[in-house]
Amino acid sequence: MRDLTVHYDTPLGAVRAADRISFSLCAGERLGFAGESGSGKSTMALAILRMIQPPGRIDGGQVRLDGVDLLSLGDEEMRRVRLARIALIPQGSMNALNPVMRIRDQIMDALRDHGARMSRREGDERVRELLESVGLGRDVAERFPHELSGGMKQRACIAIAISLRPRVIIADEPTSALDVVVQKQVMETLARVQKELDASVILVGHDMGLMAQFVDRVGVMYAGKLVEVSLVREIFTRSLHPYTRMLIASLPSLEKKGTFSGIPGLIPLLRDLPPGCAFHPRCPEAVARCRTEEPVLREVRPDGRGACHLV
Amino acid sequence: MRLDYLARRCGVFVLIVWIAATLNFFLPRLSGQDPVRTKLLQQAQLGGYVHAGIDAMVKDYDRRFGLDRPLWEQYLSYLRDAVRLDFNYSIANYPRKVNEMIAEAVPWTIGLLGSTTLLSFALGTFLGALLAWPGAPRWMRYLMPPLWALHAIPFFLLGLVLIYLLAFEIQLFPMFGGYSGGAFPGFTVTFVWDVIRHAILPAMSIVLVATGGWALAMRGMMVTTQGEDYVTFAEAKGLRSLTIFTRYCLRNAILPQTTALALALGNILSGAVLVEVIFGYPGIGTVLFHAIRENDHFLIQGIVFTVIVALGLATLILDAIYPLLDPRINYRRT
Amino acid sequence: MAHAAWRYVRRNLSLVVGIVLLGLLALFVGIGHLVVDTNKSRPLSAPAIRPPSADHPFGTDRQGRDLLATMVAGTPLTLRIGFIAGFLGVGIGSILGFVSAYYRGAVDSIIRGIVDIGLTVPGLLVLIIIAVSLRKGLTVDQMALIVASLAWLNPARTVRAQVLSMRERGYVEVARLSGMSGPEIIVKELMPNLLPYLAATLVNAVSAAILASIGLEVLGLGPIDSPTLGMTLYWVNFNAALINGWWWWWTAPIAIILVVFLGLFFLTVGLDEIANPRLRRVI
Repeated sequence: MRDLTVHYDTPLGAVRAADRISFSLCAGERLGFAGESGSGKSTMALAILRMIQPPGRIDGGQVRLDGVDLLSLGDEEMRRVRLARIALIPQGSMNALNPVMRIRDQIMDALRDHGARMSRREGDERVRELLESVGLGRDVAERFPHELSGGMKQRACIAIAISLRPRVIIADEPTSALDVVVQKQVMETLARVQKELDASVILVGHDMGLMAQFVDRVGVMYAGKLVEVSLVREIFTRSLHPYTRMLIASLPSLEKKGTFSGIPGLIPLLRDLPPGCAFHPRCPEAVARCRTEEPVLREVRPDGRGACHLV
Repeated sequence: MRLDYLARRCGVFVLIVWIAATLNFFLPRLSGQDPVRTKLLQQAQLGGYVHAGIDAMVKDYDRRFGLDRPLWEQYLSYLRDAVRLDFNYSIANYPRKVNEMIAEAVPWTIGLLGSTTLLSFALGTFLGALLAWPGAPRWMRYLMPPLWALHAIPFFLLGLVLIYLLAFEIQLFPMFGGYSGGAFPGFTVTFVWDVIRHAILPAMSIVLVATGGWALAMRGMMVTTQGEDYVTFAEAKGLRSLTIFTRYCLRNAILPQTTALALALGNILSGAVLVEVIFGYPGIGTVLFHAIRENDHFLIQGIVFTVIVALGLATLILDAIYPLLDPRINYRRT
Repeated sequence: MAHAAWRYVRRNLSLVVGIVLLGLLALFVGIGHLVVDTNKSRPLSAPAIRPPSADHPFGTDRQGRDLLATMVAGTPLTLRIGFIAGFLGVGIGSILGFVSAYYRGAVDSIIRGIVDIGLTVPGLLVLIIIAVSLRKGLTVDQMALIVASLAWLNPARTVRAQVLSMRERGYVEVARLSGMSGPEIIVKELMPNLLPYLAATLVNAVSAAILASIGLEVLGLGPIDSPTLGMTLYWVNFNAALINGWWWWWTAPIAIILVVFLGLFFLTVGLDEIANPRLRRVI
């Protein structure tokens, strides 16, 4: 992705939900995007799939998959890219499954609309394989979504997402609203299928602990901008942005018993961003330059980019 | 078990019937008027023609209802008769029995009401769904305002206007009645065609107004449905827009629409009654109208009771069908 | 200032159209009362069956009523039935709906049961039975009371649903936790959110009440001596004005009824938009 920008038109003016986001993703790599609500990470994920609805619009930039700029494709071509090349695993709290269709039918309609021609028995077989690969029994196929638990529904969504062997899987907060035990199950399933497919994963979330366990690199977003991209271990040991450090510090830990530390202040309204660095009002290390000049995301070390004047 | 729910709904139905019957029994008596005596007094005053069988009728009436018997006994015998659908004789049209007159009128009403309701529901729902589809042709947008405006007016108003425009001025259709006077009822082509011709205007009054309502409601449901998470995921799955439209949006929006149908039946019926009156269409509405004019209490009560029971039945049937559409409703206690 | 007003008009066109229509009606009645002699709405005040002319701008009917006077006198009567029945209905209905949702339990079951059954039954028929039973010369106000007896059902259901959904949301709990007393919560937290819905429900109820009263009147069960809109239509039907080609007799009441219903309808839509911000269009 290069310089992707997404605008939302509100009655009070255009708002930049995502501002010149650039990153690259290698095959088989796991990239996490962390940030608070409203940081623009979900917007970016939807933008990759070109699913930004009015009043939002994609306002520039490129998204290249295997050399093809997705933003330049026609509607029908983009439709075929979805699921077949890039698949979405929706948020755990969404009711992403059609309540009046059986799981089997919801898997099959995706296959069918992407051109697969199968007999009834072949279809059943394929559905069974997919469900097995995510750890669900074959009886799930005939069930309706309301008959499944949260974890099962999420794994069914994973099954749908991998049904056409995509190259990229975008997981948008796949485990929010699930309890910890089920979270682990779902993430393990995700890890396993990713390895089988040799696909790349973009994991969007706000749980840094989850990121630490799963991804190779982490990108941190704040107020619609990408402020840091580093290897996961280095994010924790030598992070390049004060916001990242504070995010990590706010994680409850088994060692530091005591008070929780949060990040003082609130996220700025996207239409009312402070001048200079968007984080400076809440940053304990801000200097004069931070108030006037917006920092640019630049390479500070191999595999480490940061957008801060102090780096 | 599914039977549990059905049993409960049937119970509600019986309750409705019982309440209807009770209301029917007590309300007229509240005013202290005795319909039969009043009628007799009226006729005596006129000093003119008195029904030949009046004596027999009074004796019959006394025997049946025994106004000298205690109230609760009257009530019980009334209930017993009601269950057998025996509503006594029509005061104004003696010696015709009430259930005879109702039985004659019911087919007309069911024909008119049934076909128009189904037609306007189907048409309206279809139109409403189309209006919500981004892929719909532009000119459909212009259908909205007239449909909107039309559905706010009562059926019979449109009926009056239509009669004037199409039956009086242009004389395209007959002005009223169910069939031409002097025509012989039967299953001949000419008669059937005659009936249809007479039914077109009343049907149009209902359909033109009701379709708008259903279309608007369906469009609203579709818009809500389109905002649901599963539609977003369906798009992310790269489904064709037709698939999303039919199996994801339509299929889900139909559910509340059907519930709305069940709830609206009462209103549709009230409107249809007035339409029949305006058009002199020989259905329940016109019979009711004449009964009111002639103070024929038994006929009125019989009609009201029948209609309430019929509506209760229709609602019951719709309620029973609904679970077939929505798999989330399961009556199994898990 | 004007620019903001114009923007609001574009956003909520329905509300404005509704107000304009009803305003025109009010003007008609208001000016009419000043200019026209409403006594002419009684029978035998003018020669019968005259088409519109300078003397009788709306013509006359078979009983010799001047139709312009009839419309001017009758419209407020019909509206009055609607308002009385509507307000009464919404008043009683809101209280019952509120009680039902706030206190739950057995009270809720009973009220909900009555409302559900009551709404299944076709209202007009019940009204017919009541009107027929009491048929000793109804006055306008008695009509209003009869209609009100059923008008409370729908508001009860709506208010109950609203209060229930408001209960679900956190702020009732928060208010209670922060120490507000019951009545205080009701007045400060619930009412302000309820008001737009109440307004929309009220307009709806008035509209339904007018429809019910006109229905009763057309069937001949209304106040016989009053020149209300529905009664005029009854006479139209009674005298077969359609066949006889006395078009002026029924054009006026139909036109006025149209304005009433359309006005109320647009008003409802406009109020709905205020009540439910999600329906607002973004210009």
